[in-house]
Amino acid sequence: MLVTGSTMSGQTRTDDGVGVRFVNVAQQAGLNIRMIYGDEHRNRYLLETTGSGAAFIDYDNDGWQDIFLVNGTRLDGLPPNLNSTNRLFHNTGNGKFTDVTEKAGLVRTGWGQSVCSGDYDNDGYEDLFVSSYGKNALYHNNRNGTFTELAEKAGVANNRTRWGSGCAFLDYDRDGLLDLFVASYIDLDLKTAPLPETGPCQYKGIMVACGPPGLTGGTNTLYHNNGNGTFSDSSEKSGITKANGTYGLGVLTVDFDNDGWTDIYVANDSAPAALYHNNKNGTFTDIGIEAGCALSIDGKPQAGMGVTAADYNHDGWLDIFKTNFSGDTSSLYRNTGKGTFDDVTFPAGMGLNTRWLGWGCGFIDVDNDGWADIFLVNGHVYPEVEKLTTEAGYSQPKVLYRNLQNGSFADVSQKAGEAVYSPNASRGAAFGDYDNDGDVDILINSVNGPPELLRADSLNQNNWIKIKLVGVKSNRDGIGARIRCVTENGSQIDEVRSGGSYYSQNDLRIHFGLGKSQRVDSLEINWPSGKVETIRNVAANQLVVVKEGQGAQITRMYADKK
Amino acid sequence: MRIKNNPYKIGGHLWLAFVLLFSVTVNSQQRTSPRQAQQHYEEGLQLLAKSDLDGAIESFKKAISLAPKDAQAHASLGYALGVKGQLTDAIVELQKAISLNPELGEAHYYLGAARWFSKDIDGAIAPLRAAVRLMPKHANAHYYLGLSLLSLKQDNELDEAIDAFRAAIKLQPDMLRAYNDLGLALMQKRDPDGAIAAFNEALKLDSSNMVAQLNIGMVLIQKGDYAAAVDQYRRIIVQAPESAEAHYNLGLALKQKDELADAEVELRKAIDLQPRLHEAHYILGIILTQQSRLEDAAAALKKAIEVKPDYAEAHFALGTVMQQQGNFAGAIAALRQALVHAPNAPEIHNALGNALRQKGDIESARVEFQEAARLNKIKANQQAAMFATNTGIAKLKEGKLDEAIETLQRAVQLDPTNAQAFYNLATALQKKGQTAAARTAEQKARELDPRIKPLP
Repeated sequence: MLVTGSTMSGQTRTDDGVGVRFVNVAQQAGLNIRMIYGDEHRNRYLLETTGSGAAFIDYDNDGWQDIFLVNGTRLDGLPPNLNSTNRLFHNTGNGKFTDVTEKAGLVRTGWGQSVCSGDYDNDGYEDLFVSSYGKNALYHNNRNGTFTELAEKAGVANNRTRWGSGCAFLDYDRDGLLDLFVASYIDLDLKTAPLPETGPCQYKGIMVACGPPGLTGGTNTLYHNNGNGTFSDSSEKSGITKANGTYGLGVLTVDFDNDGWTDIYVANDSAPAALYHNNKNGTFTDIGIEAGCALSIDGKPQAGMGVTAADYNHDGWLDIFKTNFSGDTSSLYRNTGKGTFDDVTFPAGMGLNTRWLGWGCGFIDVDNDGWADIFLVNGHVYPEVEKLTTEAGYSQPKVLYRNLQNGSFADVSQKAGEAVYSPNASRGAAFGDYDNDGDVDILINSVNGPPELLRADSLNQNNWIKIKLVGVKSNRDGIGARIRCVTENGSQIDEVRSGGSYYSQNDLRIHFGLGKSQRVDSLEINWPSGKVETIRNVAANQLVVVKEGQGAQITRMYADKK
Repeated sequence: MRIKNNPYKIGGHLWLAFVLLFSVTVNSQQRTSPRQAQQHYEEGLQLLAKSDLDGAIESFKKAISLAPKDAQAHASLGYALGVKGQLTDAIVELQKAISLNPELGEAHYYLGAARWFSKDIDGAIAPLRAAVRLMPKHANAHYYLGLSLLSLKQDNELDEAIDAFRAAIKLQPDMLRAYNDLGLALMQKRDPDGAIAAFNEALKLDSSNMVAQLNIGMVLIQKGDYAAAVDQYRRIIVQAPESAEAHYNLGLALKQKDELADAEVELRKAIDLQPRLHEAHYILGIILTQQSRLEDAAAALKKAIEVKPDYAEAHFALGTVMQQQGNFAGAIAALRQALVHAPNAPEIHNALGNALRQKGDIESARVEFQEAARLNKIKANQQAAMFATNTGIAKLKEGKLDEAIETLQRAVQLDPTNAQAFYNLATALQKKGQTAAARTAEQKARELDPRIKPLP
C-alpha cells in the first residue's frame, strides 16, 4: 500500500531512515487459519521442528499473487478439532484472499516441507512441487483453477524414510524444460532414531530432539525433465550425490559465476553448505568449501536454514546470505567475481545479532532505493525452550537489515513496524507484491500458529519497476533468466528463481527499486536459451511483461486499479 | 570461567587430613618391627609434627633400613617426601607400602594425592578408589576421588564423581568445597537445576562464598538465562567490586544478550583488575570482531596470547581477524600457531585452508580442507556411535539381544575407540551365549579403557 499524506517526506529516505512500515494483515486479508507442525510443547524427533514453506504464486494468471501454504501434521495424529492440509488462497485483488484449497484439489495432510513453483510442462500455468518427509507431491495445474497430483507418475515421489527438504525448479541443461532439484535433510527412520532420552540429547540442560549430527544424512536429488510429463533421477549421473556436506535444508539457484548456467547452493544444517557448480555438461561439482561459502569465517559448519542471493553491492556479481542457528550470526558471502566468496558477515555489520535462530530470508529492496536490503524471520527450533527463561524464546522477532549502500547493513527492525519486531515461531518466508502497489510484501509460515502476511506500506515516493518474463525457447517462466536494470543511478541485476528462502517460493516477477529515477534506461534480459534482449526507455512504476524475442508485451499499473 | 578450588590450596587439606588419619592409625596398630626401628619410626612422627621434614625423612629411612618390610614406615616416608615436594620418590615409597600391605588404606589415599600433585589424574583414581573401599567413612577420600574424576572431564566418569561428592557430604555435611565441586559436576552433567541446588547448599554454609555465587551465574548462562546471570553478577559486584571474575562473567553474559557495548565495559574492568586474565582479553577480542573493530580485536587477542602463549583459541581468533583485514600471511601464521596447540580442531584447518586459498596457495588449501573433512568425519562418527551405543544399551535392557548386538556392532564400527560400545557389545554377546566373541569385545573395551571392570 502506498501511504500518502503528511508522512511522505519527499526524500529518498524518511527521517527515521527506513522508508517502509510493515503491518501484519493476515487476519483481515482472510488468512484465518492455524498452521500445524509437530507437537506444541515437546518434540520427540527433529521431524517435528522444521516447519513448512510458503509461496506467492499466480496460479490462475490473473496478475495477482495468490498464496500457498504447506502444512504439517503430528506424530500421534490430529485431534478432531484440527484440520491440517495444504492451503491455497485466491487473491481477489482487493487485499483479500479466499480459501480455495478444496476446490483446487489440493487437500493433503502429511509432513509437508517446502514448496516451489515452475511451469514444468510449459503450458503457461504455474505448477507446484511440495516436498515431504515421505512422498512428495507434484501438482499439475489444470489451467482451470484445479490441480492434479502426479508425483508418482512423473517420477518425483519419495520413499518412506526419505526427507525431501528445500526444492527448486531450474533448467540446468538449458533445454527449455524445467528440471527439479530436491534437497534431503535426514534419512530418518522413526523406528530406529534416538529419542531425546535415549540419545541423550540436551540443549541448555533440557531434553530435546536429537540430531542432525549422529543421524544419517539425506542425499540430494536432481530430476531431469524428460519433456513428456515425467522426470528421470539424474542425481548420480550429474554428480549431485557427491557433496561435502549433508542435512540439506534451504535451496538457492544462482548463476554465481555469470557464465549463464544455473548453479545450486544448499544450506546444510550442521555441515558445510554445498555450492554445486554447473559444469555445463549435465554435471555439477560441489565447490562450496573451496569457493569460501560453505563455512563460517572461523571454519565451522553452521546450522544453515534459509538462503537468498542478490548483488547487494552493485558489482555485477550475485552474493549469498544464509540464516543460521542461535548463538551464531547469519552469514553474508560477498562474491569476489573470481569464482570465490569472502565471508563479510562481520565487516558488513551482521555480527551484532546472535540471539535469533533464523529461517526464511530474502534480499528485498524494502524502500525501493535501488539497493537490496535483507529481511529474515526467526524462531527457535525446540519448543522446549519455553521452559527456559532465555532472552530469545521459541517465538522470536524478525530482523530487517537496511543496506547502507557502502557494503554494510544496519539493523532497523525496531523502525519498520511492530509486525517486524513482534515475535513469532516463523519458518518459511516468501516475498512478493501481493497488492501490486510497488513494494514487496512478506508471507510467513508459522509453527502451530497463524501465518503472517506483512503488508509493506511505503513511506517514501521512490519508484520501482517489475518484470514478468514469458519464455518461448526458454522455459515458459523464464526461470534462470538474468535481468539487468540500468538507470541514471547505475545498474542492478537479479534472476528469476524458483524456490529459495527457507522452503519457499517468491513472486516470480522481478522487482527493482529505482529511487528517484522516473525511467529505466534499459532492461537487459539474458534468457536461459542464450538470447539476449534489451528493452529501452521504460517508465517507472509499472509491470512490464516481456515475451522472449518479442519485447515488452503488456504494461500494467496495478495501483490505479485499487 | 568456572571457578574451581585451587588444587594447590586443596592439597594442604589433603596432607593435613592424611596426618590426622595416619596418627590415629599408627596408635591403633600393633607394630611388628624391631624395637629400634620402632623408635626411629616414632621419632620420625614426632619430627613430622614439628614440621621438621628432613629429620622425619631421615628417621623413617633408618626405620626402613632396620625393618624393610614395614609398610607403615614406607607410607610415612612417602608422606614426608610428598610434603617436601619430592613426589617421584614419594610415589615409589607409597607403592612399596601398598605392595607390602595392600589393605593399608592411608597409603592408597596418599598415593592418590601424590599422583594428583604430579598431575597424573588418571593414575590418582585407582588408589583413591581403593582408599574409599578400604576407608568408606573417610570423607576426604571420597571428596578427592570425586575431584579426580571430575578433572578427567569425561562424561562417563561424572556419575561416579557425583556419587563421591555426595558421599563426602553425607560424611561431612559442612564440607563446603564438596558442594561447590558437586555443583560443577552437575553442571558438566548438564543438570543446571541440580547444580544450582548444590551451590545454594554451599551458600547456606557460607553466604558470602564467592565461588558458589560466581558458579550460580555460570549455571544461569549455561541455562540460557542471560538476564538472570547478569542480575547475579551485578549483585556479586556490589559485594565485591574488585572481583575480576565477576566483571568477566558479567561481560560474558552481556555478550550472550548481544549487549556488546556493556559487555566491553565489563571486560575492560576485569582486565584492569586482573591484567593477566587471558579469557577476558580473548572474549574482548571476540566482541570487537563482532562489531567489525578489527584492529582493536587483533590487539586484544594478541594480549591474550601474550598472557597465555599456548592459547589455541586466541591464535585461531587472531588468524580469522587478520584474514578479514586482508592480511593473509599473518592469518596463515596465526592459524598455524593455533594448530600447534590444537592440531585436531577441524575448524582451524578449514580456516587455514580458506586463508591459504585467499592467498592463492590452492594446493596447500586443499590439504587443509581434506584434513578438516577427515577430522569432521571422525567427530560425526563418534556422535553416531554414541547414539547407537545408547540405543544398544536400551535394547539390551529390554532383552532384545539381536537388535542390541546389531546396533552395538554398528557403534563399534563407527567409532572403534568407544570402550562403552565394546563393553556393552560384550555384555550382549555373553548373554546371547557367544562367549568367544564376548571375550574379544571385552578385551577390546578394557584395552581402550583399563578402568572398565571385567564381565561377570
